[in-house]
Amino acid sequence: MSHSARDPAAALVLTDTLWFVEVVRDAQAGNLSAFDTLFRYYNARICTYLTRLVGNDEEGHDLAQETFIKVWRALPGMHDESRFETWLYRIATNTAIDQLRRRKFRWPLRKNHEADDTSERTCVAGPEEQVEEAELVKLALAQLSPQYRACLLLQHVAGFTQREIAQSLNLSEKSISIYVGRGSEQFRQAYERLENGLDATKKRRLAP
Amino acid sequence: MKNSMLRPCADWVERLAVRYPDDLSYVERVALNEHLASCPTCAAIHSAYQVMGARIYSLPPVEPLPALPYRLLQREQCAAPYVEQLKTMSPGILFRLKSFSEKIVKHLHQGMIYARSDDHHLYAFCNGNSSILWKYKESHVFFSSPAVKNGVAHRMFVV
Repeated sequence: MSHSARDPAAALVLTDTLWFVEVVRDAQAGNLSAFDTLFRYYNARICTYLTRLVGNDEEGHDLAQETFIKVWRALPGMHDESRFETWLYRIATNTAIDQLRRRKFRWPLRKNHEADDTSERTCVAGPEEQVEEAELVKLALAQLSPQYRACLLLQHVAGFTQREIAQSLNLSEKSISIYVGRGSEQFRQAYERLENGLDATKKRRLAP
Repeated sequence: MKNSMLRPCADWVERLAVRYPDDLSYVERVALNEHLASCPTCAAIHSAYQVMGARIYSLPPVEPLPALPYRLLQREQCAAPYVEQLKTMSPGILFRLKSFSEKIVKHLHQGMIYARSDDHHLYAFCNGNSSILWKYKESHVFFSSPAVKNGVAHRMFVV
């Protein structure tokens, strides 16, 4: 007896997966309606991923559109329909990294400038704690290299296992394990440095 | 008190950052749990990673794109007149294509003909204006030359 036959939940997942593979196949055959289904399924996720990866809303949306166009062009050549998701994220990641290289982003300059600005803004305006935390997370992410940032976003935002991240970035699982480990540690230190800086600024403001 | 001065044990730094059960084998997970029980520094950092992961996950969602750029995609599709191209193929080639599968889905995009059935994949790549290289499941099955004129296949020679 198959696993899915014993477990109704697993059977449902299988049905969904088969349906999904069918949609991907239809899209591969040039069915624009099927591709629209895929687009609606991944639109918000790809926009969020790319915006976080490049650190800019407008550019994230431009890259998302570019990604979907590239996917449409490349779909006929995709080999394994069941790996569509990791393949899609690979195209999105490569599109973003190419863009970052082309425009020669200078994250350190930008982030230091923004970190100071944010500290000032948050203290003066007194924003809610959640907004402040989100800003710190974005700033800490901006301090990572694009590859470390991609690994953390794929892990925590896309919900990928390390094996899936490896498929998405076309790297070995061992490399991904190292990237995720180093990226997590750099992110932790960057976040705590920013948080300490923010606390110190607040204390200075409150001092008579 | 902040933990930024803490440093994880060098041997465990990669495994502290795992998030999903599939990321570690059972043996590795047991070993990690044993290490966390005996090393307060790594336990604190492991906990911090979980919190950081949750913070990244909880970032506010980004507004999605309003719609697909349909016109652009349709233009891409129209740019590849695959029906016309297939009509110009010799009957022998079409027969050969069909013999690989019961139901062939054809798509040509940017010089590539794509044919597929449930269990067969057959690709034809247009190599500039001089030749077509056919691939069947990553293996070259036959090669034709000179078979293309102005992007249109006129004659095919099976090797």
